Amino acid sequence: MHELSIAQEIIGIVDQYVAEDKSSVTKIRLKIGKLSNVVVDSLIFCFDAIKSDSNLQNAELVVDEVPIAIKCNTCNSIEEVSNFAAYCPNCNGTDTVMISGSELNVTEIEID
Amino acid sequence: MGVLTVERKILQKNDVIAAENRAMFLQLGLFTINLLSSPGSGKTSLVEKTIEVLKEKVNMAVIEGDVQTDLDARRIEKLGVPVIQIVTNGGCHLEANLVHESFKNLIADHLQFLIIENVGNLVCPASYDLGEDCKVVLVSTTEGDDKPLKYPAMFIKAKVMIINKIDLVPYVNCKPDVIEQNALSINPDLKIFRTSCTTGEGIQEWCGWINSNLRVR
Repeated sequence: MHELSIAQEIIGIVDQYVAEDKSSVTKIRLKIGKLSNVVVDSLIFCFDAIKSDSNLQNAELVVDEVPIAIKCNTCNSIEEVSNFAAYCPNCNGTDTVMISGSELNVTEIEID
Repeated sequence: MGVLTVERKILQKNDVIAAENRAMFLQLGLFTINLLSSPGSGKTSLVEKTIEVLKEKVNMAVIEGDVQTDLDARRIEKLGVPVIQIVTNGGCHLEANLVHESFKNLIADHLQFLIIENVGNLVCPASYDLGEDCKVVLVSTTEGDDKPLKYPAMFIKAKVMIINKIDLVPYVNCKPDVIEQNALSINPDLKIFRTSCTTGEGIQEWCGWINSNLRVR
């Protein structure tokens, strides 16, 4: 349950980009990987609970969830998986790298 | 009206402090582990056993993280090793700045080895780099053999897995081989130890691994 501290970090990042009139911020777009250990609903709940303290009352979080994807260096395939494992679902090779799924980024801030 | 492109890591602030910690530990010649597990897997017992084996030969210290109380720090203090307790007051994980601040208060010279015992939790601590050399994840046989599959993020990031309470295998429905198999399916590079803090099984091997990782000065 660290979504509240994540929400505080997001507000800290917005502060660095929008110095004046933060009430003009309408959307904060995030990229959250399925393996980032963040519960999106809780994050939105926490953000909504604290946003007006920072004059972000008009802002909403828009979350782009990123699937877990594994690239196999043996058969060169890229596979999306629902449960992470370090082997390729295509050829069972173990020389794999996770290429997405651990993202936890602020990508865009929309201002009205 | 407009859109600002940001592309910033949300936990960047923590990552920056963690990098500072790592540089400081390296400069001091210190080998550091971040010890992680569910509550009750035996982290503090393992720390106690490790101290008993190593303290005569290795200058070591411990940072303890807990939601409440200094009970763990008092256990470590009894063994004559410098210890600092971080009480998170509800926080479910340690962050790099907490380690940074508490390390300043450790009164210890010529340290070689630092154990950071994280808050008992297999979820949140995985996201927070503390500046350690490696994450060591502990799983006990009473927790069942499916933990690596249920909490993959932790096992992806760990270098070492310790299967603790190995003496209880005859009494519980858990197969250490299956824990290993599950963990290796998540992270094939994991170094694995099997230990019991009651019988002492595997403790020498674990301490040998620590010894081999201490920095030569």
